[in-house]
Amino acid sequence: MQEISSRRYVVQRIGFGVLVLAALLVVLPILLVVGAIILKGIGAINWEFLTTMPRDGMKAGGIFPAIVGTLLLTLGAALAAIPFGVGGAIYLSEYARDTWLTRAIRLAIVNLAGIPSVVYGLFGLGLFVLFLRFGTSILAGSLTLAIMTLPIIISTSEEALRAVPMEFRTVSASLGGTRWQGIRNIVLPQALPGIITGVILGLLRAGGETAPILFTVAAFFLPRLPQSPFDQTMALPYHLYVISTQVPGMPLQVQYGTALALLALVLSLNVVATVIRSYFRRRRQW
Amino acid sequence: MGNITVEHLNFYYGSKQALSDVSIEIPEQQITALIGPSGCGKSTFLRCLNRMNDTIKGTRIEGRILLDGQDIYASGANVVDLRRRVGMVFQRPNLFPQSVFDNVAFGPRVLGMYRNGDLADAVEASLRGADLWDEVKDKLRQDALSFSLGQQQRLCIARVIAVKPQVILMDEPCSALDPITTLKIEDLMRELAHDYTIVIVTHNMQQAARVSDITAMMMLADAPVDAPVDASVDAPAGHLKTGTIIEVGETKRIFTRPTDQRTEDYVTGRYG
Repeated sequence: MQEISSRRYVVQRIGFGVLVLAALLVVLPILLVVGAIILKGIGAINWEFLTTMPRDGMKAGGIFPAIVGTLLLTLGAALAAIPFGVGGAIYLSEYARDTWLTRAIRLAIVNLAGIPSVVYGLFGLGLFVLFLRFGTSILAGSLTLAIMTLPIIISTSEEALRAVPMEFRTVSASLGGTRWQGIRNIVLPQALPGIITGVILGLLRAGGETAPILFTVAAFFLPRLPQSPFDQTMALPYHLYVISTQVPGMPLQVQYGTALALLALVLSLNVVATVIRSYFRRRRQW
Repeated sequence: MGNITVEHLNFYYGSKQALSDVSIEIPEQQITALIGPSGCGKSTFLRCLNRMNDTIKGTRIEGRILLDGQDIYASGANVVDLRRRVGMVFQRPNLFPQSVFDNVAFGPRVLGMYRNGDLADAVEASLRGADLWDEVKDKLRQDALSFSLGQQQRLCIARVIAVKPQVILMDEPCSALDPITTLKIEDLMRELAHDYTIVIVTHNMQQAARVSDITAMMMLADAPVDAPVDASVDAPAGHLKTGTIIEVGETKRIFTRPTDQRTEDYVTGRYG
């Protein structure tokens, strides 16, 4: 009797150990990546690096235009993707009935999320740069990133809307509110933290992408700030790719410094999203 | 105002008939109680009166419901306006996660009833109407969900009377409350009956006896032979039991001298 039960505990201990190991394996790469980049890149980071133009064939000077470019592209993607994404989510969650059209839309969203980012880049080149004649420009790049972000925004927003109890809609209707008034006044405010989180997570992915901006906007070397949406711009991910692979004799510290800047930008957005989510989750009472 | 006439009402969830041949006269400014065992269609019937069943897919209705002589299911009838005139209090308090003020002001706001200054007066009047003003007048900006369940349910009542309805439907409004709080709500209902027609669904027979003027006994029964049977319904007619009102009368009489044996069994507790 005792023999058997002690064996059960040994089995449990082994199993438990394996599970902990599996969980730790997830943490390990992020610690190593972030750690290595910080250690090797922090020396390059200073005010001049962040706020001046690159010089000397990018081997010296700063990465200011790339930072500004990435911020502009992310902002542009947000402006284009948020109205369509949130609007689509509201339609799917609140209005759409289960018809072939709705099913087709959902299928499209799932597939959109699965398309490789380089394909988005070629699509953006074909549609925005060439067909719509936006040229390689911030406009074309932002729209390409927006399309790539849409499925994330739609599915997280829809989930947030569906999490709001049905009852609120019923009560709103019972007080003489129209469906839209119920959505606008009750459902949307309740779902907002979830929607914001989804939007930030989507944009954060867009901001770090290289392939979609490769053909649509990114400039190899452009040591000035863009003047209009139809200008090209440098961007951090592409700049990192360029200085890591295309420029011989590039100081390693500049490469790591650029990687650190990109990482910091993306991770700080991530932190903002997490804070918003946990703040509202604590306040939620239903 | 607020007089309801129901004529030969049949109600279907898809192909399943839930109510058959329900007819009742609900007089204005009185309290009508619907009693009967679980699953007999009391709530379904109540929700026909403000067309809340419309929000459920596949529901269908036959017969007529007249509010002050006008068919609320007539084509072209304004559902949103109907729901303003026929308010509803639900089983559990279901306030919005907002302040007391915003909850009570919700209806008037979406209906565009007042300018801003008058809105505050209207909220106060509604809270007074629900006997709640003295308890919450200093806490109007406080989160409504921080109050006790009984206060929350009275807040729900205040929220309903803020849209100036003629009828208030109450679907087991006290089932989540303790006996003391229940009595408070019942007192409130008696007061409200001076101004509003009230229809209440209750499982609590003492409550029906204490509070109502008219009592309607509902029960699952075989559909009467002469009830209109829809050809598109799959179920064999008369086979399935459907909910119907088997007896209506003055509350005192229903509880002392019911004419239907089933009513007598139910109100004396022999039902089962």
